[in-house]
Amino acid sequence: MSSNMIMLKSSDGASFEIEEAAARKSKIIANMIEVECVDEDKAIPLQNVTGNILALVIEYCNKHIVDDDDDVATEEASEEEEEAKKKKVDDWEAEFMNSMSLETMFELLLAANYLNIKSLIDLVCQTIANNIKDKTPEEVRKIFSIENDFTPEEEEEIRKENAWAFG
Amino acid sequence: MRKRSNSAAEERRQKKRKLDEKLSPLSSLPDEMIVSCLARVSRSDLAAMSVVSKRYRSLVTSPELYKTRSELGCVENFLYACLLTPPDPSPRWFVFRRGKPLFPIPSLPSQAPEASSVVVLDWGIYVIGGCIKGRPTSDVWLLDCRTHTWHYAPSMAVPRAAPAVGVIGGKIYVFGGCWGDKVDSLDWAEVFDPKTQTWDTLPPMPDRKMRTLHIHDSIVVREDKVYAIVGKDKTYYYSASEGQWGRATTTPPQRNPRDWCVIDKLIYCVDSKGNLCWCEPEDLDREPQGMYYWRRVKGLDSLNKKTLSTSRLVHFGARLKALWEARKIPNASNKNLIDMLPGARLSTCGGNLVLFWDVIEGDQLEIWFAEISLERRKGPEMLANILGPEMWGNIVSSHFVMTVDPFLDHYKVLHSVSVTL
Repeated sequence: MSSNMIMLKSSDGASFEIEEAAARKSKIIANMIEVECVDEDKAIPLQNVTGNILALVIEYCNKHIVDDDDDVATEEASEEEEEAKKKKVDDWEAEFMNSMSLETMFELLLAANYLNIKSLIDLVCQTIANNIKDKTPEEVRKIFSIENDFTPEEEEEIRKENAWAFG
Repeated sequence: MRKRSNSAAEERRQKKRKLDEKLSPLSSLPDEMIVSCLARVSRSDLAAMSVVSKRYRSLVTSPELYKTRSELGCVENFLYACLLTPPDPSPRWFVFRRGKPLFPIPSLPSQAPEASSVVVLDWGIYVIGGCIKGRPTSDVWLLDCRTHTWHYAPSMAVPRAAPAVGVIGGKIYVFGGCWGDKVDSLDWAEVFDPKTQTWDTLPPMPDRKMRTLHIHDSIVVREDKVYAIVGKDKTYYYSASEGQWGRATTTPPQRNPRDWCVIDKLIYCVDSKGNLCWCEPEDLDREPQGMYYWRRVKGLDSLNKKTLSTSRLVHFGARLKALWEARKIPNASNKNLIDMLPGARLSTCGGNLVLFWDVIEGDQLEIWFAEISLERRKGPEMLANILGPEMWGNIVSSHFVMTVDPFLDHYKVLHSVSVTL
């Protein structure tokens, strides 16, 4: 194991090797590294993240660590190049999110929150928000399997209250 | 444990339901994370979410959601208008979305029919004072624009009709509008802190004579000053940071504007000819030198000036009208107040200028709306030093929002304010 690699261990016992720079995307891990409670031979146990979710987190971190390096290298980049690069990242993120189910998304959000990776939290929240956009209450209930616990009278009342925003 | 049935089948069903609930993925997230997702959708999507279930309704109306929205910059501007619509005795409130007609929202039966002042703070519209059956009131009401519900706010120390109001640093400053012996009240000026829900007394405006006059209007121009336009030619300001009054020397009403608004620290009005005009706030403090400070907003030729100048949509209130009637003979003018002052309602929404005015179209009276974006441009090179910069307006949207039978009493737009949610 090279000196700038660290090990992460998921709740279900899977181990992952990750570059320290990528792992630092997580404020929690970065903090652990700062206060030197990371033993080089030992993996950092992440009790709240399962292996399949941790794999996604690592994929995201690895992708973005490369982008961050690019940023430093091409400080003088033209606006167009910047834009092209941003589009590349956006496309990657869209593809990344597109490939997962809603359930995975929620687990990923919980993991991102636990590991405190702000940009990933934003990405997942925005994707979930996009799933809510322009939907009727019935569609939202169906997509997110939410049980309607209003009485018909209550629901009617709330619909009336919000009538200005519909249509 | 819920156990309404002993049958095994029922129990199985219950178990399955519990499992479904557990699997219900969005609901498995903690509130703060759902809020973080919801904060990113539009208000019409939020309206749909509030119908979904009880939990989502409570999240959609939570202060945390609106706090997150403003932190993320995911906010929208909404225009609210308060109209006097005879024969309805009390004013009615409407929310407005571009391209749509005015949509009625719950109104307040006990709202003063005239002379209230209105101010927006965070997600709420405060309706302050006013005149009920010819007597000023100290009532303050709050319209929570997240839920369109009304709440009673702590009353002021003194009753006020058409006081000057302004918001500085999250507090509401209220001046004057006092009648009779209340002019000498130690509470002539007050400030409300919504955090503590209390009113505090401020020093009154030093010039007693000025305190007795009708305050035309109030505007917050700079971060820390509330200007009170008094009488015909005097402007005072209260500086919140210094905690004292100052006198602004020049006043704008040379062109008889009835309504003002401030956008990006510039002051706008419609003059009696129906022109949209603007001036720099510094001009209010400048010594009068015979200079003409008001400049026309350019590029608005398609706006119908004639209808703007003949609009009667602004309500003067019975008292101001009575004052005018009493004074118009000594002033050698026999014109009615309503013919003298243009009655278009000016306000601002998301940096744009918003106008409401009325147009007689055949045998109908139409209430029109226009939203104008503004752009500051350098004037012609040669004259730049003399004339300064130019302001160009671009009509973003203009359409009628309501049709009224003109033979009934005239509708009035009492207030038009923008709330960022």
